[in-house]
Amino acid sequence: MTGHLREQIRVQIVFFRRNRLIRAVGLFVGIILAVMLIPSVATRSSMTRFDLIRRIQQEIGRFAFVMGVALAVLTFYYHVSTRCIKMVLTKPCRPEGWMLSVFLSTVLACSSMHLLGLVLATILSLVWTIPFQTGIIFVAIEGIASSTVALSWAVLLATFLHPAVAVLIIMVIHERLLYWLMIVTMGAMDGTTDQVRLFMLRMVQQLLAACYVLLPTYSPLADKVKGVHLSYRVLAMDWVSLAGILGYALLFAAFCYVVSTLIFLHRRYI
Amino acid sequence: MILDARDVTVEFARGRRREKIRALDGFNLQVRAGDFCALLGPNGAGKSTALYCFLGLIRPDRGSVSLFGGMPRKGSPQFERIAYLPEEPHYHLYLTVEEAIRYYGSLYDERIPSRRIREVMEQVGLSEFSDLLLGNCSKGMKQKAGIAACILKQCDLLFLDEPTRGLDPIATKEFRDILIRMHRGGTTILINSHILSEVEMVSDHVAIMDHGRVVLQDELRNLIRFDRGLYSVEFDACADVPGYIAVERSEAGVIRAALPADMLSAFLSFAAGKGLAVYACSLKRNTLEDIFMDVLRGARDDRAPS
Repeated sequence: MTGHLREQIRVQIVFFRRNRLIRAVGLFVGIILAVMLIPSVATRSSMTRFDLIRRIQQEIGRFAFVMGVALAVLTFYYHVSTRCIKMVLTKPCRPEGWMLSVFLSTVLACSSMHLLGLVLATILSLVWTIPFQTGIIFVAIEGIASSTVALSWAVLLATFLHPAVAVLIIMVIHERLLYWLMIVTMGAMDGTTDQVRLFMLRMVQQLLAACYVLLPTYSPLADKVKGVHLSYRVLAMDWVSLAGILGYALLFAAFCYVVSTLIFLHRRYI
Repeated sequence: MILDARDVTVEFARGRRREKIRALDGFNLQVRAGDFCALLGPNGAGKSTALYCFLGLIRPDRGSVSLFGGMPRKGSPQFERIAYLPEEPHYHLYLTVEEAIRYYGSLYDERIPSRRIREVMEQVGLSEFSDLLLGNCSKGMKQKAGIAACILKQCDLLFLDEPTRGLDPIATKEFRDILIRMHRGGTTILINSHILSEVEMVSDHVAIMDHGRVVLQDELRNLIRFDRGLYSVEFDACADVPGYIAVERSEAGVIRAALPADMLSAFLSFAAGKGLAVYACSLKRNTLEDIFMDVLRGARDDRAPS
């Protein structure tokens, strides 16, 4: 099983390297993020070098997040739509193992991108003689957790939805949108006296609340660790929060893995 | 019995209205160890669906499939003894030829010696293209890569879905020789093919399918026999061919025809009288194509409303 898993992960990584669509997505997202960084670099005099390091790591984190979702969806979709999965499933190789390799290889790819951010931030800190802050490590680990949640959710959705719909759901229907919709609905409820309309709005509110609870959060305990992102200073309590974030990410990834494997085993992908 | 499919029914939902289409309908097939069985049938007869059921890729809606005494499941240890060559080259196109063969082999054994991989690439004539991406290979080359993956490991049961599709005549001959060698070595083979002449050359059992069910399953030697009532003759073309001679083809000044056995002496007298050269005269042999057409015609007549 370990040998199979290692081989599967190796092949998935070859897929990441050679797939043109992934390369195109990477280039596109990379260019956008780099363009967003240009003003910060150009107006460096008005911005501290520390903030620039923070910004670079943040942008690399965003890139890793988007790429994680893209990799997860494309890896699953490619192997199923081109039917090459048949070549794996007709060998003594458990489908659970293949699914695990999809999760692990994408987590590995995302983690290396977050680690790149960490290394770059560390190098810049050393070059600009800024005291190294443990927050750099903290942010990288939190980024890995956040990417793990998003890519696990992406794989789960891709097992039964078209990849474009899966990506759309991940990018559009997230907790912030639902929270905003809940606030809007509450406002509308306050402003109406019509009983029928009030009833309808209450139903919508309940539905939104249910979705808000059910949908995964990409940044759990964000309020508690907000300070770390601003100052890169980590307090003892922040490490506890990070453990909680990691625990949530692992639990959610395990849940997504089990459900996607069950769907994968029972659906006809032929 | 290595493979035993009994009363298998598989339905697919197709189209916007999700209408049910029955791909297999009471399908029965038995394959014994050592058989070289050919699954034949027109397009849409359900041959590939049957193969997917045997491989555990599709779970039947009704009926049972037993493979090595157990129900086939995706990726189960039963596949240690099985190799499969798909109809279309559904391979990992982002891998090179060598990487793909190594990968497919590694899914059986954790380590395949590089020497063995080179050997099989040599055997199928792919050694020059080991670094070529499968995505850039021709259909025939992809199929050869699949064949290489199949012969990498000595298996007990080999499933082949239209294996020579896209192969050139030389590669087809080489592949046929590989199959014969594997069969002699004790591998049971189940082939799904449209090329009846090819099947006739290699297989010893046939199962003819139509509309999702097997309409005939027998040993090839029981089916292909000499028809003692008919002679097949070839002679110089002439204008006034007697009525008892059924002309099949006339080209390059030679007529190929069939005639009843009791009219043979009359035919020979006719040829001698006219001074015509007779090139061939033998009892007519039923080809697999004749049997296939007869069986399908019979099955369709049975189904047609009276």
